[in-house]
Amino acid sequence: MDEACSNIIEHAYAGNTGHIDIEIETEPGHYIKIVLTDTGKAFEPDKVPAYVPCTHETDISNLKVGGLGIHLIRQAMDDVCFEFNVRDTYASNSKNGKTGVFNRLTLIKRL
Amino acid sequence: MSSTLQITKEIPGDAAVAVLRANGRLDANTVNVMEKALTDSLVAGAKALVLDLAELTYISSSGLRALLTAKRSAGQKKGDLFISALKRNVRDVFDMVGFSAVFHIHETTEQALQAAQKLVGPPKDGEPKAS
Repeated sequence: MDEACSNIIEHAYAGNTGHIDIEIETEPGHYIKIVLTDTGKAFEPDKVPAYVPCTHETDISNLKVGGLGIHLIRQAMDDVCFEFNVRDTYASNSKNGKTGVFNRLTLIKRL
Repeated sequence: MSSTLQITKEIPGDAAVAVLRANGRLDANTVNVMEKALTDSLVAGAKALVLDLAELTYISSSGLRALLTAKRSAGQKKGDLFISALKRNVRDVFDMVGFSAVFHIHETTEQALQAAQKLVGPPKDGEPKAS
Protein backbone atom coordinates (compact mmCIF):
# COMPACT_ATOMS: atom_id res chain seq x y z
CA MET A 1 0.00 0.00 0.00
CA ASP A 2 2.95 2.26 0.70
CA GLU A 3 4.28 1.69 -2.82
CA ALA A 4 0.86 2.25 -4.36
CA CYS A 5 0.30 5.51 -2.47
CA SER A 6 3.81 6.69 -3.36
CA ASN A 7 3.05 6.05 -7.04
CA ILE A 8 -0.21 8.00 -6.84
CA ILE A 9 1.46 10.94 -5.08
CA GLU A 10 4.40 10.95 -7.45
CA HIS A 11 2.69 10.24 -10.77
CA ALA A 12 -1.07 10.81 -10.57
CA TYR A 13 -0.86 14.02 -8.54
CA ALA A 14 2.71 14.84 -9.59
CA GLY A 15 3.39 17.50 -6.99
CA ASN A 16 -0.19 18.75 -6.74
CA THR A 17 -2.35 18.18 -3.71
CA GLY A 18 -5.08 15.59 -3.92
CA HIS A 19 -6.93 12.90 -2.03
CA ILE A 20 -6.44 9.17 -1.94
CA ASP A 21 -9.44 7.23 -0.69
CA ILE A 22 -8.53 3.92 0.85
CA GLU A 23 -11.07 1.17 1.44
CA ILE A 24 -10.02 -2.04 3.14
CA GLU A 25 -12.14 -5.16 3.24
CA THR A 26 -11.05 -8.37 4.85
CA GLU A 27 -12.33 -11.78 5.59
CA PRO A 28 -9.97 -13.09 8.27
CA GLY A 29 -8.17 -16.19 7.15
CA HIS A 30 -9.24 -15.71 3.53
CA TYR A 31 -8.23 -12.39 2.00
CA ILE A 32 -7.56 -8.72 2.46
CA LYS A 33 -8.68 -6.35 -0.29
CA ILE A 34 -7.44 -2.78 -0.54
CA VAL A 35 -8.98 -0.31 -2.96
CA LEU A 36 -7.16 2.96 -3.58
CA THR A 37 -8.97 5.69 -5.46
CA ASP A 38 -7.53 8.95 -6.75
CA THR A 39 -8.64 11.67 -9.11
CA GLY A 40 -5.19 12.47 -10.47
CA LYS A 41 -3.73 11.90 -13.88
CA ALA A 42 -4.41 8.46 -15.32
CA PHE A 43 -1.31 6.35 -15.22
CA GLU A 44 -0.87 3.46 -17.58
CA PRO A 45 1.21 0.76 -15.95
CA ASP A 46 1.72 -0.99 -19.28
CA LYS A 47 3.67 2.03 -20.50
CA VAL A 48 6.14 1.72 -17.64
CA PRO A 49 8.94 -0.57 -18.78
CA ALA A 50 8.67 -3.80 -16.86
CA TYR A 51 11.31 -4.02 -14.18
CA VAL A 52 13.59 -7.00 -14.71
CA PRO A 53 15.00 -8.36 -11.45
CA CYS A 54 18.78 -8.25 -11.25
CA THR A 55 20.94 -11.33 -11.62
CA HIS A 56 24.62 -11.90 -10.93
CA GLU A 57 25.25 -10.78 -14.53
CA THR A 58 23.52 -7.42 -14.11
CA ASP A 59 25.74 -4.39 -14.73
CA ILE A 60 24.47 -1.91 -12.15
CA SER A 61 26.07 1.05 -13.88
CA ASN A 62 23.44 0.69 -16.63
CA LEU A 63 20.62 -0.60 -14.47
CA LYS A 64 17.26 1.10 -15.03
CA VAL A 65 15.11 0.97 -11.94
CA GLY A 66 11.87 2.33 -13.39
CA GLY A 67 8.87 0.25 -12.43
CA LEU A 68 10.46 -0.96 -9.20
CA GLY A 69 7.41 0.04 -7.13
CA ILE A 70 4.92 -1.69 -9.42
CA HIS A 71 7.12 -4.75 -9.52
CA LEU A 72 7.10 -4.92 -5.71
CA ILE A 73 3.32 -4.47 -5.63
CA ARG A 74 2.82 -7.33 -8.10
CA GLN A 75 5.24 -9.53 -6.17
CA ALA A 76 3.64 -8.87 -2.80
CA MET A 77 -0.03 -9.17 -3.82
CA ASP A 78 -2.01 -12.02 -5.38
CA ASP A 79 -4.21 -9.82 -7.57
CA VAL A 80 -3.51 -6.29 -8.81
CA CYS A 81 -6.02 -4.41 -10.94
CA PHE A 82 -5.47 -0.91 -12.31
CA GLU A 83 -8.49 0.94 -13.71
CA PHE A 84 -8.36 4.46 -15.14
CA ASN A 85 -10.85 7.17 -15.88
CA VAL A 86 -13.63 5.15 -14.31
CA ARG A 87 -16.94 6.98 -13.99
CA ASP A 88 -18.71 5.63 -10.94
CA THR A 89 -19.30 6.22 -7.27
CA TYR A 90 -16.35 5.63 -5.03
CA ALA A 91 -15.71 5.51 -1.30
CA SER A 92 -19.38 4.54 -1.35
CA ASN A 93 -19.31 3.17 2.18
CA SER A 94 -18.06 6.40 3.71
CA LYS A 95 -19.82 9.65 4.37
CA ASN A 96 -17.54 11.13 1.74
CA GLY A 97 -18.82 8.86 -1.01
CA LYS A 98 -18.88 10.71 -4.32
CA THR A 99 -19.48 10.21 -8.01
CA GLY A 100 -17.01 11.27 -10.63
CA VAL A 101 -14.14 10.21 -12.82
CA PHE A 102 -11.31 8.53 -10.98
CA ASN A 103 -8.56 5.96 -11.05
CA ARG A 104 -8.89 2.82 -9.01
CA LEU A 105 -6.26 0.34 -7.91
CA THR A 106 -7.49 -2.90 -6.35
CA LEU A 107 -5.05 -5.04 -4.43
CA ILE A 108 -5.94 -8.48 -3.13
CA LYS A 109 -3.83 -10.62 -0.86
CA ARG A 110 -5.02 -14.09 -0.05
CA LEU A 111 -4.32 -15.06 3.55
CA MET B 1 1.29 7.00 9.83
CA SER B 2 4.52 8.91 10.01
CA SER B 3 7.70 6.97 9.57
CA THR B 4 11.09 7.64 11.04
CA LEU B 5 14.62 6.59 10.35
CA GLN B 6 17.66 7.20 12.51
CA ILE B 7 21.17 6.58 11.30
CA THR B 8 24.24 6.48 13.48
CA LYS B 9 27.72 6.53 12.03
CA GLU B 10 30.91 5.00 13.27
CA ILE B 11 34.42 5.06 11.83
CA PRO B 12 35.90 1.86 13.27
CA GLY B 13 39.51 2.45 12.25
CA ASP B 14 40.73 3.49 8.86
CA ALA B 15 38.75 6.54 7.69
CA ALA B 16 38.21 4.80 4.34
CA VAL B 17 35.54 2.61 5.95
CA ALA B 18 32.37 3.98 7.55
CA VAL B 19 29.76 1.92 9.36
CA LEU B 20 26.20 3.25 9.25
CA ARG B 21 23.51 1.72 11.44
CA ALA B 22 19.92 2.31 10.42
CA ASN B 23 16.97 2.10 12.77
CA GLY B 24 13.39 2.51 11.56
CA ARG B 25 11.71 2.51 8.15
CA LEU B 26 13.34 3.38 4.83
CA ASP B 27 10.60 4.69 2.56
CA ALA B 28 9.71 7.72 0.48
CA ASN B 29 9.33 9.81 3.66
CA THR B 30 12.69 8.94 5.17
CA VAL B 31 14.85 8.24 2.14
CA ASN B 32 16.45 11.69 2.32
CA VAL B 33 17.91 10.76 5.74
CA MET B 34 19.58 7.71 4.23
CA GLU B 35 20.76 9.53 1.11
CA LYS B 36 22.35 12.28 3.20
CA ALA B 37 24.10 9.83 5.53
CA LEU B 38 25.51 7.83 2.62
CA THR B 39 26.55 10.87 0.59
CA ASP B 40 28.10 12.63 3.60
CA SER B 41 30.18 9.55 4.38
CA LEU B 42 31.49 9.34 0.83
CA VAL B 43 32.24 13.08 0.75
CA ALA B 44 34.04 12.76 4.10
CA GLY B 45 36.45 10.29 2.53
CA ALA B 46 34.95 6.86 3.03
CA LYS B 47 35.30 4.51 0.09
CA ALA B 48 33.69 1.43 1.58
CA LEU B 49 30.39 1.81 3.36
CA VAL B 50 29.04 -0.82 5.74
CA LEU B 51 25.31 -0.53 6.21
CA ASP B 52 24.02 -2.36 9.26
CA LEU B 53 20.28 -2.89 8.68
CA ALA B 54 19.59 -5.07 11.74
CA GLU B 55 17.08 -2.53 13.04
CA LEU B 56 15.56 -1.63 9.68
CA THR B 57 11.96 -2.81 9.76
CA TYR B 58 10.85 -1.87 6.22
CA ILE B 59 12.30 -0.86 2.87
CA SER B 60 10.41 0.53 -0.13
CA SER B 61 11.41 1.04 -3.76
CA SER B 62 12.63 4.56 -2.85
CA GLY B 63 14.99 3.07 -0.31
CA LEU B 64 16.24 0.45 -2.75
CA ARG B 65 16.99 3.17 -5.32
CA ALA B 66 18.95 5.17 -2.72
CA LEU B 67 21.09 2.13 -1.88
CA LEU B 68 21.75 1.48 -5.56
CA THR B 69 22.78 5.10 -6.08
CA ALA B 70 25.16 4.89 -3.10
CA LYS B 71 26.66 1.66 -4.43
CA ARG B 72 27.28 3.32 -7.78
CA SER B 73 28.82 6.40 -6.12
CA ALA B 74 31.10 4.27 -3.97
CA GLY B 75 32.05 2.28 -7.07
CA GLN B 76 33.17 5.47 -8.78
CA LYS B 77 35.70 5.86 -5.93
CA LYS B 78 36.76 2.23 -6.34
CA GLY B 79 34.82 1.50 -3.18
CA ASP B 80 31.61 -0.37 -2.50
CA LEU B 81 28.60 -0.76 -0.25
CA PHE B 82 28.39 -3.72 2.13
CA ILE B 83 25.04 -4.54 3.69
CA SER B 84 24.57 -6.62 6.83
CA ALA B 85 22.08 -8.18 9.22
CA LEU B 86 18.91 -7.90 7.12
CA LYS B 87 15.63 -8.81 8.77
CA ARG B 88 13.69 -11.52 6.94
CA ASN B 89 11.06 -9.18 5.51
CA VAL B 90 13.66 -6.71 4.26
CA ARG B 91 15.71 -9.55 2.78
CA ASP B 92 12.55 -10.72 0.99
CA VAL B 93 12.28 -7.32 -0.72
CA PHE B 94 15.92 -7.52 -1.81
CA ASP B 95 15.21 -10.98 -3.22
CA MET B 96 12.05 -9.84 -5.06
CA VAL B 97 13.98 -7.28 -7.09
CA GLY B 98 17.16 -9.28 -7.47
CA PHE B 99 19.24 -6.88 -5.39
CA SER B 100 20.52 -9.85 -3.41
CA ALA B 101 22.46 -10.76 -6.56
CA VAL B 102 24.17 -7.39 -6.99
CA PHE B 103 24.77 -6.20 -3.42
CA HIS B 104 27.27 -7.65 -0.98
CA ILE B 105 25.00 -8.91 1.79
CA HIS B 106 26.51 -10.36 4.96
CA GLU B 107 24.92 -12.15 7.88
CA THR B 108 26.74 -10.03 10.43
CA THR B 109 28.12 -6.52 10.50
CA GLU B 110 31.47 -7.92 11.59
CA GLN B 111 31.69 -9.96 8.37
CA ALA B 112 30.66 -6.93 6.30
CA LEU B 113 33.28 -4.81 8.03
CA GLN B 114 35.99 -7.39 7.30
CA ALA B 115 34.99 -7.41 3.63
CA ALA B 116 35.04 -3.61 3.51
CA GLN B 117 38.45 -3.44 5.16
CA LYS B 118 39.76 -6.07 2.77
CA LEU B 119 38.59 -3.97 -0.18
CA VAL B 120 40.25 -0.74 0.92
CA GLY B 121 43.42 -2.45 2.16
CA PRO B 122 45.68 -1.29 4.97
CA PRO B 123 45.81 2.47 5.65
CA LYS B 124 48.58 4.24 3.79
CA ASP B 125 51.01 6.52 5.60
CA GLY B 126 49.64 10.00 5.91
CA GLU B 127 46.01 8.98 5.61
CA PRO B 128 43.84 10.23 8.43
CA LYS B 129 42.86 7.71 11.05
CA ALA B 130 39.86 7.96 13.23
CA SER B 131 40.71 8.67 16.86
